[in-house]
Amino acid sequence: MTDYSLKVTGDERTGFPLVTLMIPATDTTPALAFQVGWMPLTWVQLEYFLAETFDRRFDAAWYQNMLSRSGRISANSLARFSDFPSLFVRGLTLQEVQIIGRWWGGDRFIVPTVKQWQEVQQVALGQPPANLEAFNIEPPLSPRAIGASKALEGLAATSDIQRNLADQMLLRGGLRELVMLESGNATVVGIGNPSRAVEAFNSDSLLKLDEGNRSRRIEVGMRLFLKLEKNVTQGENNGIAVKDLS
Amino acid sequence: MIDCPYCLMPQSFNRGDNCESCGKKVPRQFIDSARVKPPIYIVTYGSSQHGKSTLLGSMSFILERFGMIVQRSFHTYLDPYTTERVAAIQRGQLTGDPNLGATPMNDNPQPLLIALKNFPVPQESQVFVIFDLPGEVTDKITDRVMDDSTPAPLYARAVAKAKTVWFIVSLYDTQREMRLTGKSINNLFFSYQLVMGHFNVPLQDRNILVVYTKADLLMKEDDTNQLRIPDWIYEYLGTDKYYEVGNRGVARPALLDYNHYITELERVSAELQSFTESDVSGGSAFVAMTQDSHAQLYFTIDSAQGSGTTGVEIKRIRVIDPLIWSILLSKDDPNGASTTALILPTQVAQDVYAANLPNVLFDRLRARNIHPSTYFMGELRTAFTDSSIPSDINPPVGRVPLIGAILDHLSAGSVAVVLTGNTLPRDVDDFAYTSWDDRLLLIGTDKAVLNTRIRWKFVAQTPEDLEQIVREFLRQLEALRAR
Repeated sequence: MTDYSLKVTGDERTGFPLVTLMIPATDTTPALAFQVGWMPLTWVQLEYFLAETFDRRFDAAWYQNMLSRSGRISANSLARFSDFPSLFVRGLTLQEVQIIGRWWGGDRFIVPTVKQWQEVQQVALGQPPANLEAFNIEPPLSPRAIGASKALEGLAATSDIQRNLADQMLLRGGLRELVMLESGNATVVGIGNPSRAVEAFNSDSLLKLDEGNRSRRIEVGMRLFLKLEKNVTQGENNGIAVKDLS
Repeated sequence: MIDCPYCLMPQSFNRGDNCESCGKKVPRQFIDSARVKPPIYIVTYGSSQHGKSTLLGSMSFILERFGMIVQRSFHTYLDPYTTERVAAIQRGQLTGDPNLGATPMNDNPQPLLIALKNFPVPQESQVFVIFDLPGEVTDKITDRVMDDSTPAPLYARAVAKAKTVWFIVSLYDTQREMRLTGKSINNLFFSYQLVMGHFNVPLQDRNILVVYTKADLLMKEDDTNQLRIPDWIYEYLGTDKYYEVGNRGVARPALLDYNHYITELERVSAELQSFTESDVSGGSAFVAMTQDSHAQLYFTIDSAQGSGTTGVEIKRIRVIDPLIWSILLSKDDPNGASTTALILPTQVAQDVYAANLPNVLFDRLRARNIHPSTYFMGELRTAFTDSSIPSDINPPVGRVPLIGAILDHLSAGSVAVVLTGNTLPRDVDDFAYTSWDDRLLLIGTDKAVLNTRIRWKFVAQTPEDLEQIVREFLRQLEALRAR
């Protein structure tokens, strides 16, 4: 039996929650240690990047173009769960994802592979939902991050479906997320089991994105994935100790 | 809680006007005023004979006739001690007897309590608590605070309490003292820093206002005076329209244009700082040390008696400058923690810039003692390096009209005033029905601004509109804080 460890911290850049996830090595897989966004990239987080970057590609015209494709909603205006995709940025290209990610985490940022993403989802699927307010999160979450989490939670709570951590983090029933098909291969796909609010006829198959990745797919968002330093231990755990499902 | 002005101990004053700590009766006007707005504490800090009391005396002469230059403005001395003490200082100045004005050395100096009504704008008042410390304090204060066997004297606590300390420096006398004792302007800073360290007060929360006194002596050509004073200093001193206001029977000068005046103060401060660094002995080290400590440094210069020594020929040149600086630096926040942000639109809002609305709004805020930090929408760094705004503004090109990252970075309790054209900040509704409800003011030139869900939103197309909007918003803010 293998122990996993989960811990919630605040992202120093934007004050949104990050989940620290450590997956020990098994006979067939190496150890994985990530910090993963609690939810896909929101407009609020992207706007932090825009307020600091001097990269002219991300100017007002670019923003307006993104906005016109997928819309933007304030968390305090979210009245129906089906509106949730408008909290999140969708349609970024791989290059844009990499630029934004580097601003966030420097060399620690990665675009995960299908396998890495699925590993994270697998762990979250086995967990009960977590109460963010129960954690003493440092650095503290920003009011808008709390607002977004609460709004999503409040709307999802009305559903009868038995939820787990993966549902809560929108690793299931959320968006598709941009990942690499495999390490060393530049092919980009959209992964996930998206909500019907995102795809009318959803399936869990991979959505292959165009070669060259120039088109913007409205279904596809991104999530912050940061590699952890090697010396991170399972100490200071304010999260959830969980058991291997295998 | 309100600090007793006589012993500086905080208390509620819910059980009467007498201080529960020192027993003194505190003026009701002081208590009522402090409940709404914290008083401005001022400490004069400098060597003997550098002109501290003379400056205060000259200032009092002008304050007593302040209505001549600021409509409906007047002062009040809040307790008998202040009345008597000011009268003694004034007598000393009029008779040329320095002993009448000199401050006696005392562990527990009594402050001057002065209210100034309707300044800088009608219906706004300032209450000053002024500790006029004798020159001996600067010699003894470090020994006294280092001596653990006795409690720190009140004058040391007053130094630590004042958000803005006045370093009173006669450059003429400093030159003589340098030769005799080796003391320079740095010695003031050393002792001040030590006192603040003793009370664990971070210097980044404090302003040091260097007041160069006795400017008239710097015109002397003698063995003592080796300083070459730049022409602009003479020009600044020579263009003071109010140097005679303190004398009876003089003609009424032009009214004080507060906004213009403080712009001048800021310019002169910057130039005096350069002059200090380049020409004053020990000046470059003084400026560097102060900046290293993160205290804010400002300069002003005056001549409290002009070239006269007695009677009617006294010219009190630029003596109100330190007082105006202290009002400016008191800002709008009692704790120095929260701030006001002025957020200007992107370059798309050409109508806003063409109508000069950013400068007008900035001036209107500053006239109400609010010194905002200015930002451009969509950019997290502040727009200008200091708390001022240029007449010709060049907003960055291509920025997205957003305010959220800026608001999220401001400290708790801060206020944001957002100016926009017909393009609304894309994220403004993120702040509707949040803790920003009472602290976020959105002003647009188009009625589209009224479609947002935030509480304080107005359309303004003229400077007059801005004046009214700012007044109304700040009135509710003040009422809220008073509650």
